Order: sequence, then structure tokens, then C-alpha cells
Amino acid sequence: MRQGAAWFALAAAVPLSAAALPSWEAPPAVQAAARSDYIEHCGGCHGVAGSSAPARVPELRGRVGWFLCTTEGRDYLIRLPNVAHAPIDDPEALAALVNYVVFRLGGESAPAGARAFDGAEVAVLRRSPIVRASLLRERARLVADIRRRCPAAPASLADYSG
Amino acid sequence: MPDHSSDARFERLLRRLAGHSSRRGILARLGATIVAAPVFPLLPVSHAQSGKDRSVRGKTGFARTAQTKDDTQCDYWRYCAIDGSLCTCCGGGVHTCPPGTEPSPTSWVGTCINPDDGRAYLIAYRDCCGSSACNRCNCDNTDRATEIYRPSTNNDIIWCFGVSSMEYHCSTAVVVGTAE
Amino acid sequence: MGGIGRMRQRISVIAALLSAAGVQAQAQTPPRPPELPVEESDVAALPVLGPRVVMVNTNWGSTGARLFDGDTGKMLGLIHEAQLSNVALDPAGRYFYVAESIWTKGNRGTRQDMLTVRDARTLKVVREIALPGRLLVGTRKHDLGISADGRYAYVYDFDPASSIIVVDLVRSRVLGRTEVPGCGLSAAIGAAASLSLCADGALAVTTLDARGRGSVSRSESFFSAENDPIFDNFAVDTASGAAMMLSYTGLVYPVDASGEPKAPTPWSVQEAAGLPRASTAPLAVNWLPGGRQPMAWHKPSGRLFVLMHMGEYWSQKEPGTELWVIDSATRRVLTRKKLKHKASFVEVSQDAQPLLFLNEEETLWVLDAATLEQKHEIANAGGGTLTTFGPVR
Repeated sequence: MRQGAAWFALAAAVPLSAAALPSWEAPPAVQAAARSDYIEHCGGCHGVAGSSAPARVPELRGRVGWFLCTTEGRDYLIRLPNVAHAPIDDPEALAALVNYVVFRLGGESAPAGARAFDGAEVAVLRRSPIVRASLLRERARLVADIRRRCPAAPASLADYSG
Repeated sequence: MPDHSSDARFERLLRRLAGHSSRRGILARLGATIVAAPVFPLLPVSHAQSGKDRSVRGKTGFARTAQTKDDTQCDYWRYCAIDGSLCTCCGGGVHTCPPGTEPSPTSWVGTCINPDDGRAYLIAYRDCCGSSACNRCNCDNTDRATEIYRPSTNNDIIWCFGVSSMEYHCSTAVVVGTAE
Repeated sequence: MGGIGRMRQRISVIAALLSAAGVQAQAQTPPRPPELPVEESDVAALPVLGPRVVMVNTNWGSTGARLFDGDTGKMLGLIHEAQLSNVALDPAGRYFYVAESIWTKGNRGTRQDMLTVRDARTLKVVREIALPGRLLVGTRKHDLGISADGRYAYVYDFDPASSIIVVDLVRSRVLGRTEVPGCGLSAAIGAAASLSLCADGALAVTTLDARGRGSVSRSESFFSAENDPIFDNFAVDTASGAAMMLSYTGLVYPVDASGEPKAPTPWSVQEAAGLPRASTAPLAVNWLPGGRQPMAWHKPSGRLFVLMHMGEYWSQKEPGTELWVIDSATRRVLTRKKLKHKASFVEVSQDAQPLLFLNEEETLWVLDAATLEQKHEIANAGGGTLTTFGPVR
């Protein structure tokens, strides 16, 4: 994204402590658009702030970042059909939406050093949505794997909701 | 839910034009695509920040004729895609559930234009659940509402997931952000 | 009226004749009508439902699926249902299946979802099959499908993950659940498959294996579920897997879901009338399809009956002010009929001299589908999806 690249060039000139940086930085306009896209396309079911408990909807708030613990978990976030098929054609904008979910709604849950999504990665992954398998079983399998590899991941990650 | 289409005055005006004015009448009978001249000035729509064009949303029949004064009417601006009874007529408010009911944590989200400021707002159509149907001020507006295989924009689903009772009472229209 | 009743009636007629003879003899005495026969309460049974019976499924408000004889215009009976239920007939005509949801204490307590099986003659409950869930939504036909051989029921669930619950109707038990990620609806296709539409504009067919476990195959994306969606209430011939689908702008999609789902080639109802295709652009006024069940398909003749109105795009629930009769083979509009009353639901019987049914605001109209002459106007008939008892649902 040209706008984003320009902003990064600008940001590079400003000395900031790397440790203090969240894993996703973007210009305010991009973040605002990502939040707006999230609310418009996802927030109804998942909740404006990433929680709609006790509805049977996966909790995003403070939790979703753990999926970045494994490559498969990371890919899953884009391969979810409602993400892959979201009516957001621009892969950079879709990447920003998912980054907003992972690094803002997900709070501290993303593993240290987790990389933000970019448009190129999203463009490839959204071409293979999970449409022929059980999402619930796939999610359960991924979470079991995440909990093995990242023992700090909370047991509640396995809950479908709440 | 009962069918009460409410988009209203402009549609009725169009039909009257189609029915009574001879040239338009003939066009209408033939069914050729005609372009409705806006009776109200088209509103500016703020989309400067991200560059997304929301202006199309300001040009629907509903948006052109929506009002901002009376939230118990189907043509109140934020009801551009509401289906059901207005909670404002049932003892509640635009974002307030009537006594004895509870808001669902889930909803679907539409986009409506506020004619006072020209902004596109994200509106959560949140059902109040847990009591029998209020059945007052029934509206069924359809701006960008789609079918149930695309549930995130369907207004016929009973959006009472995650509430202790799934009985539908009425619908609210909660501003949850601006459409950037 | 039973046999005893009829016999009583005959006896009373004879008695009346005899007493009339007596009157002649006794000149001045005014004639006294015969005493009415004593009656007993009994219960009617439904006839075997022919193709010219229509079911009006009112699943909101005064709930119940009301059955009307299209020839006489008389109501035959009502199938009980909870709010927001689906009702389907066993293809062999033995049972009605009602997919319904209730709570143990009225509007609260434990939720109970079930497929209630009712005898198609007496409407008595034959059995109940507990379901693990179902979607609560109004006026949809394809949330409940019954396979062509009557063996399986497919119940659409959204909780809010999308899945199809497969019920073995022979053994009266739920076999399992097949997820249809990103898709919705569960119309029955053939003996062991179910058809869904998807949010990315594809068709999905869920095919059951011998143990009733489903696997999903999908077509390419061919329509926009966001900008020009296909109406949920399409027409489908369960036996052959052929379906006629219609989009908000008036594109007809002839679907063949008998094998691997393939993207259909659409054509426009407006072009079939010699008009330009409808536009989704703001301010453009077009003839558009609309209502809740905006198209009926008479499969034997290939005729489509579409409810049309004038308006701008995003008026998809506007009831029709005109009925367009279209030959789907030649893709030509045969008739444009201005309706005396607007209608949101249309259905047609599948026999050789079909009847057309229109519904709006609790009134049901029965028309001759060939001449479009009105045969009956039935008030307080209920309002909701219309179903006839033929192969096309």
C-alpha cells in the first residue's frame, strides 16, 4: 500500500524504542478504516469490541493473537471463509482489518515478535478458504497444536465461546 | 414479520409519476430504465480519510428522504435497513431495550447516512429479546440488506443469539461507529 | 358427515314427506317442521392432497400452516407449528414434517428444537425427533428439505456457524451435522444431497455417503451475494435437482444441481420483455422482481411467474404490482398482467391446467395460471410462503 509505505518511511525517521512498538503500526486513517471494516463486516456477530459472550461466537478480545503462534493458525485467520470472502477487494485493506483484530482486539495475546499480515500474504491465503472441512474440528485441531507449542496459551482458547 | 415497506414518500412519488404523468407513464409501462431526478439535494458524504466511496449510500431512495426528528417513524435516518418493530414505540429507545427484555450481544451491522451531517454511520440492528412481539411501528427497510446465506447483512434472522430467551420483542438501531 | 348421519337425514326427509301428507288431511293446522336430528361431534380427516392444494405457512403472528383446496377455495385444515417453523410434506404424502423450536416455559426455560412428524390425514403427532438446533428466521422455504425418496430431512442451522443437520426419517434419528462454511440453506436434491447458496456467490452441494455423512462440493463463484443476491426462496425440483433462481436485479439462473454443481448462465427478465437489464445504480428506476417468494416455476411447461414492481434498486421486498409470465425456454415474456392487489408470494401448481396462487397481507388469491383469471379471493388465509404438493418446492 503506497500510503502505508510512505508512512513507514516517515516513521523510520522518528526514533522509537523497538520494544515499545506494538506489532502492527499503521497510519491513523488506515487503522480507522480497519476498525470500521471490522465493525461493518465482523462486529455484528463478534461484537464491536471483539466479544459477544455468551453467544456461541469465538471470542476475539484478548485471545485471537494466540493463533499467530503457529503458521497454520496464522493462515487459518485468513482462510476462514468469512474473512477470505469478505467484500473487501483490496488485500492491503483486508490485511489491515485482520491486523486490527489480532493486534488491537487481541490485545496482548499475539506472541512476542509476531509479524503483522501484509497484502501479499493475504492475497495468496484468501484464495484457499476452508470451505469443505468442518471449521469447528479444524479450529479444535489448531488450538490443540497451539497449546502444545505455546504453553502459555490459555485453556479458554479451546472454548468455542465465552 | 409483517411486510410494512416504508421507504416511503419518494417511492410513492415515483409511482405517482409513473402512473399519472403521461410521458413518464409510458416510459414506466415500457419499463425503460429512467433516472429519478433527486427531489432533495444529494448530501455530501464524508469519506475523505480512507478514500472509500460511500456516496452511493447517500443516493438510495431511503437516504434521500430520511428525516432526523422522529425516531418512531420508519423513515428515521438510522432505520435504513431495519426489519421489525421499533423499540422506540415499545417503551425503549433507539439504543435502549424496553423493560423486561434484554439486548442481544449479537446483531448485524448496516450503513446509514445521517442527513444532518452527511456522514455514513455503522448501525447495529440489535434485537431486544425475551418478551412477546411488541408488534408496533413495524418497519421493513432494505438498504443493502441481503439473504440468509450472507447472514452478516440479513434482517430477517432473529438476532437473539446469546440471550437467555430468543423470543423477539423489537429492534434497536445503535450507532457503533462511522463508516470510514 | 358419517354414514349414520346420512341415514338419519334420509329418515327425516321421509318423515317430512309423510307429515306433509298429513297436513293436507288436517286442513287448518300450520305445518310444523320436523325435529332436527341429534348430532355427535366428530373430526374431519384431510383428503389425499392433490397437486391443486396450497399450503400457506404463517410462521409469525397467527401461526399455522393452512391448507386450501385451490379448486373450491375452501380451507382444509391447519398444521400446528410454533413461531418461525418450517413445514414440509413427505413426498409419498404420508406425513407432514414440522421443524420447530419451543421453550419449556413458554418464552423461557430450556430450548427444545424438534422435527415433529404428523400424520398427513389426521395431523396427529406420530413422533418427535429432537434436533440439536435450527435457525430462527421468518418466511424461508429452504431451511428444511426432505429428500426425494422421503428418507432424509435436512435442517439448516446457524448458531452462528453454518451447518446442515441430517435426520434419518426412517430410523427417526439425527445422523449428524455437516458444516457448510460460508453458505446457507438446505434444499433437498435427489435421494441424498442438499443444495445451499454461498456468500461468495457459489452453489454448494452436500452429498451424503452410505452412513449419512456429508461432504461438500462447490461451484465457481457466479453471482454477487452483496450487490445482486439470489433470493433465498428459489424454486427447485427435488427429484431432478433442477432449480430456477432469481436475483434482485432480475437475472434468472437455471441451475442443475444433480451432479457436481456448475455455475449457471443467467438471463434477464427485463430483456425477456424487450427492455434493458435493470441497473443497481442509485436513482435508476427499473422494473424489478420483489417480495418474499417472488418467482414460481411451472416445470412441465417451463413457465415462470415473477412478481415485478417499479422502483430503485434495494427495493427487493417490495410486493409485485405486475405479474410477468415468462417462457424459460425461449426466454420471452408472454404476458405482463397488472395485478389488482399487490402480492409478495407467488406459487403455481404442477398439474396440466395449473392454478396460480398469490398471497399478501393475509389474503390468498387463486388464479387460472393460463388465463390469469381470478377464481377465488380468500380472506384471512394467513400470510407466508406458499407450497404446492408436487415435485417443485
